[in-house]
Amino acid sequence: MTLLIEDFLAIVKNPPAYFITSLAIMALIALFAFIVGHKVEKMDVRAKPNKLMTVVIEGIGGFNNFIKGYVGKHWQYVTPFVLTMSIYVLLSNISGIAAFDAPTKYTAITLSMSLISFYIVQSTGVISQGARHFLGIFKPYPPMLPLNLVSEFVPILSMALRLFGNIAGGALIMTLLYGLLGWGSIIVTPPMHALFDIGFGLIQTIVIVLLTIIFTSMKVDEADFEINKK
Amino acid sequence: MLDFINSVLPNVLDVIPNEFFRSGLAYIGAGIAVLTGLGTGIGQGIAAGKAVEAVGRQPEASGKITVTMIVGQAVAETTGIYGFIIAILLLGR
Repeated sequence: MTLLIEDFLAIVKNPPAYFITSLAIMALIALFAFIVGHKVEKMDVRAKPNKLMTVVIEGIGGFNNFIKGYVGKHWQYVTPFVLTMSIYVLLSNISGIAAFDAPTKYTAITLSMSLISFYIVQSTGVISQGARHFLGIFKPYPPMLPLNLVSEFVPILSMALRLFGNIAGGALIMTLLYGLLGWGSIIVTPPMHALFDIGFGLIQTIVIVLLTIIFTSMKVDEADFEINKK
Repeated sequence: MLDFINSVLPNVLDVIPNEFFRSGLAYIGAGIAVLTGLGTGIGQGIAAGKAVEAVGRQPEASGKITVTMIVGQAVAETTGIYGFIIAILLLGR
């Protein structure tokens, strides 16, 4: 126990670089969200929002509609989690281009992302189906129990390793290129950065969000898919 | 069996398993682990080919088809990524 506390104190005193990057990204998102939320709250109904506000409002509206199509009635519970997670993953994937130590290059961060995704899936199932959610593991026949348990828990591992492997692989190839080319890397590496950091980062963000939403929509009760419009 | 090995490859049985021998075998293992990319490449190629066929048949649905294809490819990529992670682990040996 004392060893654990000593380890924790050592990490707090001398944090690794990716941890600081992760905290900075979180602070950035929180600040942006706070300012935008404050502005939207004080905005008059008839006032014209400026360009940035229009983009933010339209984007969030579009994301809400996108989630409504998959999850149905409980979109208000799912949207904040998934939107925050997607912005965080996107920013930390892209942060490699600004010479930061990308947080998603480490399994600690990606495993926490996949744990959040697992939490979203299971809690939405409980909210939508109640106790019947836990009976779902006996679904077709009771002998299928071990297979169903595996298929519930393996996405934690596979999501974490997928995100980690893609970003770490891109970073490894970039390191090899820089070592191989020397000064010639000024010409060659910008398009590679665009591919590995922005392209793969965007694709992996889309993939983790879509997989979370699709796994969630499997847990939602059939009656909850229709949204009652008042 | 041992006699046969000795006759084909002399001295192979007197190899001293020191640290260089171990790291050399680990590099060979890393090379073998990366061969998982074979299956991944075949799977992604099949997905891309089918997507091209689908766009040719129904060009107005190209946006949806592209997103589905990219998600499917990223899921198919997972096994290749596993091999890559094993290779990285072995390189540290």
